[in-house]
Amino acid sequence: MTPLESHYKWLLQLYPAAYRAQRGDEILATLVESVEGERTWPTFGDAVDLGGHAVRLRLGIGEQQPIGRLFAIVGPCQLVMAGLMAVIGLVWGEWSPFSPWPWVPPGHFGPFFTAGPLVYFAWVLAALSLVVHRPKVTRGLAALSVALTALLVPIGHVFGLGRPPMYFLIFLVVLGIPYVAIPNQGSVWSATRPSQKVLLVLPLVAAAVIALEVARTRRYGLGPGVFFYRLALAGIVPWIAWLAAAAVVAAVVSMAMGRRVLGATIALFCLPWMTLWWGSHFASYASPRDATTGFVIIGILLLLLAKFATTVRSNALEEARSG
Amino acid sequence: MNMVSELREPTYLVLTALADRPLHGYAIIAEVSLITKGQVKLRAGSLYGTLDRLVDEGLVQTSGEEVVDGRLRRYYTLTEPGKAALAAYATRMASVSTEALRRLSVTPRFA
Repeated sequence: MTPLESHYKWLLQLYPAAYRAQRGDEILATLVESVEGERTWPTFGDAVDLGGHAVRLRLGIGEQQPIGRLFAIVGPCQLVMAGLMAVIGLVWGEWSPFSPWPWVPPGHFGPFFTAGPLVYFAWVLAALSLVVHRPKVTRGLAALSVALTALLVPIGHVFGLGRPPMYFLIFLVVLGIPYVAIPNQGSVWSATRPSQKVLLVLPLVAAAVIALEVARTRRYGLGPGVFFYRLALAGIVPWIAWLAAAAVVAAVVSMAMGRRVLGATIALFCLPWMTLWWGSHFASYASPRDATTGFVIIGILLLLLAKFATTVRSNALEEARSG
Repeated sequence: MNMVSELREPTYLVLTALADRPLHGYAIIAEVSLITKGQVKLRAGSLYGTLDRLVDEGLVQTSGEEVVDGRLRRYYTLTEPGKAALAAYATRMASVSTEALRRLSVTPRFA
């Protein structure tokens, strides 16, 4: 076996074992025959193409309706993440036993420090509704959660209620958008596909890590930096921030080059994490009392999100029509 | 699902490549490159994703295997529904193309 063949074989390990057993030798033969000139390593393009095909197979996205199916896979995961983050916000941001403050702040909402629990409960309910496998119900609850979260800013302002930090609200909204935007959620889920199960476990792991971070630094409430405190100490956060910045640039460039769906997809996947990482660094809009900045920022963000969401939604509907 | 109304370009090209004879993976890639005068070079991952879907939809089927230089070649061929879908789509595309050229007052030049 030549070095090139062994490198291609290594790449084929990305495929599910059953598919590899059925098609591995055939794909390898095609790859080797397609090579132009003398090579010992696969081209970057071939590696990306094979990796993409392998991931689509593992997640059950397939070649048909790739955008719709991708969001149908990611939507529930992000909704689970939103529900878990709402629990974290409720426990460490609103509940007195875990409170960083020895007093009840002005603008409190009953026994809670802010009106945040109104939206936190909605997100938890939306995430829990995934258990009953009624996508329409979950979609309605997710839409309600998005609307409540966005409305919390003006409602809090009008009634003089405190609210959670803006970046945390935006984070929740962005997580909920894919589930709300794409119809036929849940149609691609398979109980027997291990990679999908792993995907659903990811939010649990991420939320557990974040909960540990927040618990260790609870004296700061949901203030700047608490979500990734240890990571920040380890110097990892700046690198992740640069990755997020690169993703945003990729999204903008893709859209500018006419690849609207690719750009919108990258943006919808990266925005939540970018918001959580960067949001807490912008003290002005992290402040629950700065209503004007809050209005402007959440207004712009919601317009952008609506644009991204309608782009991927229209593409998903077009895919579904064309089959 | 309306398979005739919309075929993505790689699907259309793969069906066209298989229109007159069975081909194996690399031969399909080479044929698509020939049809498009080198403008489209299918990669293996994309090709097999397309073939998987076409086989699932019953438009393409495997028609045999052989081992050449120790490497497996699997041949694919169009089914009757595959031929019908390709013919319907190609007819529609030809009609649209002719109309577009007529409106642009461009005389088509065939190599």
